[in-house]
Amino acid sequence: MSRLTSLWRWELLVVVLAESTLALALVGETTTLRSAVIVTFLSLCPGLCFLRLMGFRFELPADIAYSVTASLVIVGIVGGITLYAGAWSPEHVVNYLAAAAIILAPMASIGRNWRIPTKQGP
Amino acid sequence: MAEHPTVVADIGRPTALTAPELDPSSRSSELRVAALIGTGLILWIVIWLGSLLQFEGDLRSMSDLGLVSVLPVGAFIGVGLLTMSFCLTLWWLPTSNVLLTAHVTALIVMLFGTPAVLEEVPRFNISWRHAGIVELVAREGTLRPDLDVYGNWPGFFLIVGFLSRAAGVSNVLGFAEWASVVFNALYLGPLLLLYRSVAVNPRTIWLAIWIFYAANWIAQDYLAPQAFGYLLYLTSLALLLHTYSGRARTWRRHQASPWGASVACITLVILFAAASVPTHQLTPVQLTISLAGLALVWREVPRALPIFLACSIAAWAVFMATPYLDGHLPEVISDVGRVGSSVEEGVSARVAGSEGHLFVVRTRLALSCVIVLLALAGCARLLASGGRGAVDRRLFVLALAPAVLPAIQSYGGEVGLRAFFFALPPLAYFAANLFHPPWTRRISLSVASATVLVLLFLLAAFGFARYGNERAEFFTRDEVRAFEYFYDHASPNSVLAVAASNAPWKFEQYELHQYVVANQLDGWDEAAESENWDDFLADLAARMNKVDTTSYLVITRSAKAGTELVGDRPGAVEAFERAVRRSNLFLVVFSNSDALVAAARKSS
Repeated sequence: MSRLTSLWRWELLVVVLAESTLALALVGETTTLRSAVIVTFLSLCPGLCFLRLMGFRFELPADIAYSVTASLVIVGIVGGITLYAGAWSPEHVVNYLAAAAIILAPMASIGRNWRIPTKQGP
Repeated sequence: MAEHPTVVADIGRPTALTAPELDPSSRSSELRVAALIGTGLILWIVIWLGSLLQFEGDLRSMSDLGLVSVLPVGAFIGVGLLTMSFCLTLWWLPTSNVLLTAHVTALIVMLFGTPAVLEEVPRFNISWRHAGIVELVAREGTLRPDLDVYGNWPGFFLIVGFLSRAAGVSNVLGFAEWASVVFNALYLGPLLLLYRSVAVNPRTIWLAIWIFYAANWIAQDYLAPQAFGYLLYLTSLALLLHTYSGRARTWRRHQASPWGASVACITLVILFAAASVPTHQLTPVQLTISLAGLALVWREVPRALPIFLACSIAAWAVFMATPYLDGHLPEVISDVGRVGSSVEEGVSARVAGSEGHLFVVRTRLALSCVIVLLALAGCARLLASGGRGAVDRRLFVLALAPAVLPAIQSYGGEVGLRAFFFALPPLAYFAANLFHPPWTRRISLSVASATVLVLLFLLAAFGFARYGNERAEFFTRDEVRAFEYFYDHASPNSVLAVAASNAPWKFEQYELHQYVVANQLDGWDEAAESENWDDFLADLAARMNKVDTTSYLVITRSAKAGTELVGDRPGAVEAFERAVRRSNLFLVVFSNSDALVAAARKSS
């Protein structure tokens, strides 16, 4: 599993999903593929970026669970703001989230390397 | 993953609790065993799936024992072989996280995905109602707290509504079918984190996870705020325990800065805990109690955390949930301190119904008691071998904390179920310690046999406990067609009446219609007893004709099954249906083998 975790290139996944979301949004037509990509992006990527920006990295099952939970919470916050502001438009907001993910994923990735590696664990 | 520190922190016997010998054989023989077990695992899944896909029986012939009464033999064989394969992996390859994760994932799919494979449409009437609220939020971008309780704690519906609208999906019933599998799979991550923070023996950790799933009969993991709330509950507590257990390997950037790690952890816990407040009524209350309990016994938990959460709950109730509390505050307050009535509503009142249903209810009680007894025995074994410090006091508090809930709320008679659900992760951990305490390295044949037998017993009981009400909780395509007829023909403001609330209804146009449940109206009991439905039907028709538009009454198979199962005047719905067919007040406009739709005639 540790090897699996090291192979888990999260930045690539986020950028590919975000760009696919934007590309499919341009097409506009609702297809199963578009729905699947958008749901996967929304339920995984915002939280994954957030966790990495905060410096978190778990083992794979926990990484997925925490990313999904954080993503859903972020979606809830964004959705709540747009809903209470009277600007409910998830189909447009998802594009902004995808753009933000494309910017934040490399930032979080670079940020991880800013720190000088230290001895692991207590 | 798979780093196994050699010493358990904070358990009290650090030098005694070393990790088991994890590498008794050569790498190549280990790989051969892993390949063998992996091949077997695929075979067990094929047996299970093949038997379900080839199922040709009629689910309508299900008895009051539930899904177990119609399941093909292959489904039982698949789960049994998977359990034995898991036990072998646990003993031979306890550090093979990939294999153990694959076994647990297969178990989740088998236990919680069986109805989705077998049944035509999503089960459980509340899933359909929740799908309707999601559809309303997605379509209109409004929460309508005036409609019912859901709009006052709308977090979950807002999230799913946002997802479905963004994805261009008109309803979420497709997801509802698999929601239990998805949520239980998501629980695995925080459970692993939670158990790893208190134990180093991989056998204890994975066995606890297996017991958790085998005992999770509560069925609060469907398309519901409780399922997401539980995920927030688990992730918050697991993160706290993992980060402060003294051996967290969560961090990359914050390794050199414990302060930074603490701030990041607390920020995430606050985010998740705060997210639970608008999501569900009960979960944040339980989280507050659990955090307060942890803060009492464990100085690492900031005291401000439960206080912050309690203030958030109060603020939400005062500012955002006013429409609900306006009408229900006396009811909510009157529950406080009434432990006896909460238990009465949750236990005694449910032991009723047909013979088969009584067996199912007793199995549920027995399964819950067995888990508690196993956990107590596990604690006793830890105490006997390692003294008081061997029992992790944080998990002990988390196991006890849900016992406070019945003193606060009866939650419609469900508080006992919810309390057990919240207590299940620590209970499963202590139960696992009975078989594999942290210091064991070798497994005796008697322990191995006892483990297999107990796991098989738990899974057998799970089948009855979890799916014992399936005769009423599953729906057919024909039943759904009846409601689709209504939605295709009804005008806004039409009344939708059903014989009993156990029906796949309200899944769209949620806010556009008025709803009536016939067997909850005055006069139902009298009519059923006297078998004279004339006055009742006249009252019902008058109620439905108060609106200008045509109103409809739908009677379904599941309504009959539900009332029979719980012993709520069995046969009354059939008699009601016969009376409706004969009555001049109603006109049957649609019918099939499982449902009937009748329009209320307008009096001239």
